[in-house]
Amino acid sequence: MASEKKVVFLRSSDGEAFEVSEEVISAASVTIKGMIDEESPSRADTAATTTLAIPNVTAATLSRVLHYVNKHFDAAAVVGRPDDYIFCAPGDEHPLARFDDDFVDVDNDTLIDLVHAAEYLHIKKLFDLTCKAVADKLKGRTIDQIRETFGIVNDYTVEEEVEVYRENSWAF
Amino acid sequence: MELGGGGGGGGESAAKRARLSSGDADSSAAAGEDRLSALPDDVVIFILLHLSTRAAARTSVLSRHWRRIWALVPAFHFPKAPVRDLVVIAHGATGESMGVWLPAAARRVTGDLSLVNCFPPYGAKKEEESAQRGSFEFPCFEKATAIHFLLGFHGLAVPPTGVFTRLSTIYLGRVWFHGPGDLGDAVSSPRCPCLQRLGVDGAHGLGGLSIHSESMLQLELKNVRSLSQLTIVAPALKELTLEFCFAKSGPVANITAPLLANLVWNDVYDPSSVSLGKMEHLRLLGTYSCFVYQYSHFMRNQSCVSFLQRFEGIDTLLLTLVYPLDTKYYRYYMMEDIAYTSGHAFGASVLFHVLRLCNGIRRLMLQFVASDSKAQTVCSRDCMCDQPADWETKELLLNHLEEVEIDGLRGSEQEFAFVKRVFNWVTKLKEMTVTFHFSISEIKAKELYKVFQIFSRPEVCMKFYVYRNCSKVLYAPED
Repeated sequence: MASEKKVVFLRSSDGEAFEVSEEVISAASVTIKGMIDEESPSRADTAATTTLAIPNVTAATLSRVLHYVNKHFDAAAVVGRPDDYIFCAPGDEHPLARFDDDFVDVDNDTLIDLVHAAEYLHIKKLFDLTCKAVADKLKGRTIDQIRETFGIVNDYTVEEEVEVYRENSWAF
Repeated sequence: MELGGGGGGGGESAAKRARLSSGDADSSAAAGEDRLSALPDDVVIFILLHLSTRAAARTSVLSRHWRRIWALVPAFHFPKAPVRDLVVIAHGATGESMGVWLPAAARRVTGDLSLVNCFPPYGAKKEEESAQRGSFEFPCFEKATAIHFLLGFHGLAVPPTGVFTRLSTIYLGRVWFHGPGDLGDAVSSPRCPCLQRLGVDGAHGLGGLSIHSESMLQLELKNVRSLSQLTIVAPALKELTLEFCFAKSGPVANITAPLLANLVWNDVYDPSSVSLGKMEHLRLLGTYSCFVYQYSHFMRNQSCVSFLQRFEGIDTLLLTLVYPLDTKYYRYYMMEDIAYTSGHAFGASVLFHVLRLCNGIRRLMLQFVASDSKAQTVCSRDCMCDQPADWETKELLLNHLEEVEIDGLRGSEQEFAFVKRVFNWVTKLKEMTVTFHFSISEIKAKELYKVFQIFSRPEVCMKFYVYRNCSKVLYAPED
């Protein structure tokens, strides 16, 4: 009965459908687990697979998210301790640490899309990872560099800006 | 890190600055779309949580949108850096949680540590509830120079040992003291060698207080409701304020402060149980409120009177006269205590008697805290007001009075009648400052100003203040 593994389809905002194991996505995403639980009574005995609409996430982002989810939450694929690798000692690198580093090594737009998706789908680990990656992009940069990197428009007047600097002078 | 564009960037438009990055690989910047700022605040806070507090605070200068977000981050980290001033607003925090982080803060703060716990709102029952929420011991602040605690009657235990090496200011507001440590012991010289200012406003659980301080300059005790015994030995003390502490238990105090210049004793006073020692440098004296009318003639202004009798030759006197809102039940005029005469209305006669007792004053500040303005004008036909009062007929010489300040003037007839009399009593008046009541409009102020011009003298410098949008401003008529 190995083939009985249930799957669900997730349809992105731009209409593309992705297949994912129900067990895996339920473990990963609180939001989708909730959707599936809501659906269950009506499909108890039907063989038809469920398709869930994910209106806030594009196909490009969704495919990345599912790539991450399959790596992290598929018990068959995960080696070692899946949930506490963040707390590993610096020496013993978790097998997925490298994957995570590469995963968030993307341009700002893609990264922020992932933050949005992780927040919407309520995937805590992914949300932590992507927020930390954004924070890393802020670290060690000057204010001007941050503005340039993220396209933040400085709408302070010169006087205001000087005032804010003064207000927070202890931080500079 | 650097002010960078802050100074020179003025001429450069913000949009142009954003476009500078178009060569970058990042497409968001190239498109000019600021997707980072568009993230929900909650998410941004979570991102900033991964930065040091300093780095998070630096984001305040990115743009207006970013100005305050960093301050919402729920955890602050200050790795290694000493913190100068720290203000913590902890609404309804438990004693346990405060007991955890305060010692950590105490090790770091080198300036002023302020802690405000606004729970609960005022009310005796709430105060007790709050005290049930457990207490915490405040740690020995070895580096801080000032602490301000406003605790909403949270329990506070004073540390029984340890030295507050650098502390120069302590303010404790709305506190419920718990043993075993003793506040007097903690703030006295051996353990608080630099303490200059101590203020306690609103406290339970403080029965006796004994302070021996070589360094203390200012001491203020207000609403310390259970105080039954106060001992102060403070050779350098300049200012002492005591307010509503002894009402329950009666005043028992022994104060040795030979250099005291300002003494405000807004509390019950009894010369047989209060010893004030020698105070040869006293300049300012404030007394307990004087009740002008009472509903029973058994009630006396004894505290105020015997306190005034204790001193001679005071430069400045703060005297609060209390008038009832409704005189119907308060029929007994009480100022015979101070001088054996009677009068009525607004208090001119009262002041007359007080001034007669201390005609050597140099500066007089009058604050009119008028009650109901209607009550002032409704007098029965046989009212004492109709008879000529002493102050209107008898002469008084105030040969030393140089400055008069009047606050809260509404311009009633009685007020003016009195001010006119003041001009008759003084010989050396140099300056008179009048602040009109906040309800006085600009037009009315002009009218009143003209009245003053009529009876003022050219050698007196007159200044007027009015209230505009809740703030006091100098009034200068156009013509």
